[in-house]
Amino acid sequence: MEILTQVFTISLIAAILRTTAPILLVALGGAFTTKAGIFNIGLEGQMLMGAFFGVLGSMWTGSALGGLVFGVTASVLMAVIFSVFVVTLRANEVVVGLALNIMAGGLTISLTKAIFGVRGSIVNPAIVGMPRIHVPLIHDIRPLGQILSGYTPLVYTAFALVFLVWVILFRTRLGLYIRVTGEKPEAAQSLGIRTARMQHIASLICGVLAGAAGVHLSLGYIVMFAENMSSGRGFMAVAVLIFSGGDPVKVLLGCLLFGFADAASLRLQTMGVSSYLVLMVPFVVSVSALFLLSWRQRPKIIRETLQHLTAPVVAKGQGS
Amino acid sequence: MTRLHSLRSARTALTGAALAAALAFSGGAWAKEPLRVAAVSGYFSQGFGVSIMQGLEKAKADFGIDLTIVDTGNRALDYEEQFNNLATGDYDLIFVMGWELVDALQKTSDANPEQHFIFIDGVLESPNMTYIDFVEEEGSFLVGALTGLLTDAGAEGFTDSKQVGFLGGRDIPVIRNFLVGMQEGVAFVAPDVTVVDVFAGTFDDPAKGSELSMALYDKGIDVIYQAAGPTGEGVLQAATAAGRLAVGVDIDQCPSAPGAILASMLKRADVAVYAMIKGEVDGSNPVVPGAVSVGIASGGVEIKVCDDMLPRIPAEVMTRMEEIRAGVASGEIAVALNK
Repeated sequence: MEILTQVFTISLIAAILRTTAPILLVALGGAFTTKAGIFNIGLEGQMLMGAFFGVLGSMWTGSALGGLVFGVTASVLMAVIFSVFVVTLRANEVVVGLALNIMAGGLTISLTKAIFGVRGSIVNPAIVGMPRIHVPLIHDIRPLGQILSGYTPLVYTAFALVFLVWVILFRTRLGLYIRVTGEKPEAAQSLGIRTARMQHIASLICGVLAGAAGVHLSLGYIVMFAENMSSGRGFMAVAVLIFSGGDPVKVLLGCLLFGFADAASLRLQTMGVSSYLVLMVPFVVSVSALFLLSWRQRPKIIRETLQHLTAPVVAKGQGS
Repeated sequence: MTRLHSLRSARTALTGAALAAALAFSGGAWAKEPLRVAAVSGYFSQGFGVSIMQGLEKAKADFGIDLTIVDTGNRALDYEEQFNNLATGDYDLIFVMGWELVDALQKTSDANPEQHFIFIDGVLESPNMTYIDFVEEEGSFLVGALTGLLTDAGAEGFTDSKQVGFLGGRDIPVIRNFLVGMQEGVAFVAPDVTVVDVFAGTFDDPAKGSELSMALYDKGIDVIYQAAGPTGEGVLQAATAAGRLAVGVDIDQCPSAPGAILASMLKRADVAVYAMIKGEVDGSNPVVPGAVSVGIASGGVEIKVCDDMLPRIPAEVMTRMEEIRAGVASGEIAVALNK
């Protein structure tokens, strides 16, 4: 019991919000591609590019905002390559995504060496990080201030985006078109929706958010770049997307689950629980969640598969 | 960066006496052909590699050695070819640093047993090579002693918490050496202080390093010693954000978070490389296969208190640290790994 009271403190809530924010940002980006019917495994690479170019842009322009612009641009470029291959050229999305992830890993290492002449990490006082926002009034009220104040801007953005993404997907024409493209491409086409264009748009929006997630990692969460610093967060987002189906509220819940598992497990370690056990926790949580959800959906999946087998095959994808 | 030791045997310390002898003889070594030295690594521009370069450059300036630097980059396919090109007998000594090179290095060394390869920062299986093996537990012992003394003394920046933190990259033997050294150092000076150890499970996630540090600082811990590569950079940044202290590792990390770094545990590759070349040049301590342990005694491992922290450290703590350092150097204080 004592361990529980030591783990579940106010600062744990703050830690959960911190660990959740980067996964949430990138997962919300992935919500668009998921809804548009693209399985985007390239989130990790887009995030890493965002992190690297965020640092580069911050140093070159001398401002965190400049870093954000650079990082997001780099990530969007990755998204463009991804959607040109996947949507226009109809390449396998997993292969393209993986290739781009590997490319991002290698490219950032090579560029680090070419530009800074170092390996491993870029730590430099010239990197301008994002400011911490002290929310007026609330900041000095404990424990509210401790939970709600003192984060960098993209943390607030991430949580605000849950609502915004929900509005876009479910209350706008663009969102409707994207969803129809993903769910029933044939129907979308017969309605005159250009499904390819919808998928390109979804991929670009995804690039923006994944880039922002990367910049948050290298200019917000901490202020530096390290080789491969996205450290699987993009893949965690992919896992969240699989069991949320891209629904923003479920994405939030899934990311909070990961954030909680991560933050709580790190705290367990400080209580003397072995790191080998503790570091598994997020993955055990994700596998269990995936299992439970797929178990619940099994009848539906079987039914849909049967429908597919019996229904006449309709050409999929590819609009005008 | 810290690297895995696969074996640690045949400890022969580079003694101060050998260095003194080397100094005395160095004048007479000029008559011979210059020593031909090559150094191979992909990391000459990174902290630890920079230190190697400094040692090589100093040796070049002092002994007129013929120095060739081979930057491997990250083209993994060429490693073996690069080593084979070097191992044709043109070089007296070839220094190698970087674990990604190990496979190619061992193959080349097995094929060219006469070639003196010197692997820096680790001990491998091959019997023909020489290994520079830093005794990180000795340096970590001093870190433990310093943090323990400051905790007990209640120095500026230290609360009444009786815990100090350790954050490792992965939970692997070489990182355990850092931890055990620190634990022994703390226990030596302050038996009532305990070390809370955590591992990030990765060397390249500074965000996780920062988050884990926050968890430690939330427990009231005042200082964290990190041995975690880039993950450890996150610790240093968390120390700044939390207004607490951290201890750097491998190189002088004081500049990367001024005001938040108490000290750095240095692995002085420059000292080790220079001493080895010197021993070879003047014949006082020629390079032979086997492991050469570099610890506090030879100055290859040391602790550097950050300049801006010096005013915080009580005089008696400094005196005591000097005694302990001397004790470790002389072997009076044995830093043992419980293996």
